[in-house]
Amino acid sequence: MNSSEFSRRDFLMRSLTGVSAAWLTAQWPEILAAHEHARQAVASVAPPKLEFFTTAQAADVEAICAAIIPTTDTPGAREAGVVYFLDRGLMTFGQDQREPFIAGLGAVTEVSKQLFPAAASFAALPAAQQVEVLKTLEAMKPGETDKGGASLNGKNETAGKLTEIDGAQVFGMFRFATILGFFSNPEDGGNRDGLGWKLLDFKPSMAHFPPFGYYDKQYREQHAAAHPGKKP
Amino acid sequence: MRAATAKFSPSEAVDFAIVGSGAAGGVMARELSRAGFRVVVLEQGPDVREKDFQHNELKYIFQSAISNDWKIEPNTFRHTESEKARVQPALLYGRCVGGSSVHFTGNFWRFHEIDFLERSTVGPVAGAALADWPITYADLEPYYTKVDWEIGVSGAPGPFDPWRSKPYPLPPLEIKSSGALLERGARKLGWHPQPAPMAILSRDYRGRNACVHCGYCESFGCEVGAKSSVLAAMIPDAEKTGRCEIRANSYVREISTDAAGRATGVIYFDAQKREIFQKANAVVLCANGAMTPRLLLLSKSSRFPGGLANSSGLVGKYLMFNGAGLASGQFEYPLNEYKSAVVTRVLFDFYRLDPKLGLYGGGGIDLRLDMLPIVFALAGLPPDAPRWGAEFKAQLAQNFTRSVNSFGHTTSLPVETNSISLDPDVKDAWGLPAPRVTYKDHPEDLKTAKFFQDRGLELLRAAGARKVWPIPFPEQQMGVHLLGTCRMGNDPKTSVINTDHRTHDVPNLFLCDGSSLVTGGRGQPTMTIQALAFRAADRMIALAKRGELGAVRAATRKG
Ligand SMILES: Cc1cc2nc3c(=O)[nH]c(=O)nc-3n(C[C@H](O)[C@H](O)[C@H](O)COP(=O)(O)OP(=O)(O)OC[C@H]3O[C@@H](n4cnc5c(N)ncnc54)[C@H](O)[C@@H]3O)c2cc1C
Repeated sequence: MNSSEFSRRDFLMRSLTGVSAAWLTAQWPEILAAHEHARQAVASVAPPKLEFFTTAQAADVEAICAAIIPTTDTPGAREAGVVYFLDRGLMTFGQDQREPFIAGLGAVTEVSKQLFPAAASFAALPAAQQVEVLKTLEAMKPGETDKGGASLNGKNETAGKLTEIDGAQVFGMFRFATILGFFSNPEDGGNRDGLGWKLLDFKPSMAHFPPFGYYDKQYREQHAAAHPGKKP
Repeated sequence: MRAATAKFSPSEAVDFAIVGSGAAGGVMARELSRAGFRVVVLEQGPDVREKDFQHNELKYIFQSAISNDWKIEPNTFRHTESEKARVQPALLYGRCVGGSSVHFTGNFWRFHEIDFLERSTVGPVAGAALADWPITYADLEPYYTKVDWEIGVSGAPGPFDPWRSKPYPLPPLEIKSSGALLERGARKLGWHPQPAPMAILSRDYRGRNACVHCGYCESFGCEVGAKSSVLAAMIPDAEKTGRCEIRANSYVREISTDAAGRATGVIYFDAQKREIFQKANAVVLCANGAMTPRLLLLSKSSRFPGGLANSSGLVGKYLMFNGAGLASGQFEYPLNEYKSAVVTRVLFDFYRLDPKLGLYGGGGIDLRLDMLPIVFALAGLPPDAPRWGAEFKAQLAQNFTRSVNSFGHTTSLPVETNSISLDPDVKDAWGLPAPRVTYKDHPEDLKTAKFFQDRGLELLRAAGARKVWPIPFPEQQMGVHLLGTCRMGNDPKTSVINTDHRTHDVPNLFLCDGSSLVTGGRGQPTMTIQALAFRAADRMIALAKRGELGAVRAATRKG
């Protein structure tokens, strides 16, 4: 819920009075109260605290998410607090995802060490190397790392550990998780300040008014010129 | 805001126990209670009302807020009978008071005359059990009109429409950019766009509010009551009679029968998973095209070893999902498709394909982007776009407001092996066998869908898209239109219900929902499901008045 959703509120209340159905006029305060509650839930969150991830895990998760939706000239997954969404999710609705998620982090660490043996962690790598790790992971197919020379830039001394990993699936899980955290409602813990929605120019509101977009605006103008006084 | 509703004791035999409060069940509840009968509606889902609905994509799309939750109600799926079915989501429907009419998109097309007569018009199709309906468009037209006016439908006539006895009660919804582009592209191609018939109010109507264009529409509940769900349009009337109880959180597991083979009531689990028997003089199943046949199969007994009302062996067979031919496009300027109802213009030039094309069936085409931010980020970009990183992010930013899909809604043939059956191994959270879905698109349906995809690509190009691409359609593995599994017919050997929606085998058991359809139409079944429900209620009321429904005899009762 971003603020534009509520800036229209008074307008709506006014537009509803008298003109609109009795039913809605009666329901509306209750509906608004529910949405207001959701909004306040966001406003009142204390500075987020990690409950599920360790600090080291959180750093890796944040770095993975930031590679998927990076900070560019606009904010990315890091600024939108995606890691806090995921931390909260794994404590609540996504408890059944804990195991694959932690296993996935393990795979990222493993590939990091394979490619860059000096790496302390995925998070500690420079951005370009993080991208290389994730690309490698994304391309890994179970069993393939065993095939001579094909694996991990030839650094296959310990590749055996990774032979069971379906890298595309693991990477897909992180991509999915990042997207959920970046674009879901702020009250669910991510998409801080509606940053994800701002990126898309998505402006949720309790009500919108025509014209909705460029082409229907143009359509209305053309229609008005051709049929003055008539509704399109 | 609810009327003081009736409350019945399970041991008191009501006139009708209705299973399911969805598109058909809601109509049935209103019509039967208004005719003077005592009605209990057993609905497995929760009692959510307008004030409970939220604008939350995560909860509504990814966490089954008002739809069936596969975590507790698993489905299994396989393409053919020779495979072992795997656990995977294969059925999607609304699981709440109001059923799938709450979260549906509101596209509300009548069937045309041809849809009732496909077997005699196009002849047999190999591998399909194409059949004519035992009723025609003319039989159903008064009920289509009734749905228009009772439910509230917005629209305007178009050149390919079937005849209608009364105009639309409400003018079309405000045009969106997708509608404007559809008109532009279609006109260039010599086609005939028209306002889309939608079960969403364009004006205040009967105490309900007009659409406020919030855009949280498909997959969401409408908190202003503008979507013409049965929750907004039918259930309040039913409750007002004082003769109808909507009993939520009541999951029916069996229809009980007596030694004479008549239904005596239903057994259900309440919210605490206690088993309760609700006595009824007649039972009406409106649990949808997947759950109605499942319930019949679950109700097998020594008298009905193959499942209840299944002497034909056809319960659960001829499942139809409808087909789809999809394409996508990006435009120069923002459309902002996330606002308002999903669809505002539609094309019916290909409703009935020219037989010279060598294609069976037909359909309609609209433009829409039924994707909110999460789904768009997951699946809205073209296949050549990066899937992550800075360029991915830039393309999302550029195209969320500028994208639109072309959606060709098409036929699907009744194929005997496409079916709902009981999974032999997998159980739901109540210990009941999971519905097993067997489904493989008929090759003719895939050909038709491809034709519609190609027209969609043409349409997007003609509308001025700067990039277009086809959305691949692998064989379907998930149904949202659940049709045809207890088909209507005059012959008890080849159908499950008669034209009164009475099962051939059990005289006081009626089925009315998506399962009743003989053929699947062209993609938007719910208008027809509800017309059938109004008609079925009339037939049942007439039967009861003639004393043909045993103890169901209530029309003069005061309440
Ligand atoms: C996302 C989405 C969009 C859609 N958009 C459109 C559209 O634009 N146009 C269109 O025509 N159609 C659309 N549909 C399909 C439409 O919703 C269905 O065709 C229609 O609602 C089916 O009506 P029904 O009465 O057969 O069943 P439903 O509306 O599904 O109602 C069945 C009810 O029975 C309940 N039930 C099932 N089993 C039991 C049991 N054992 N005990 C108790 N209760 C039970 C269910 O919980 C449900 O409430 C859409 C569907 C989905 C999922």
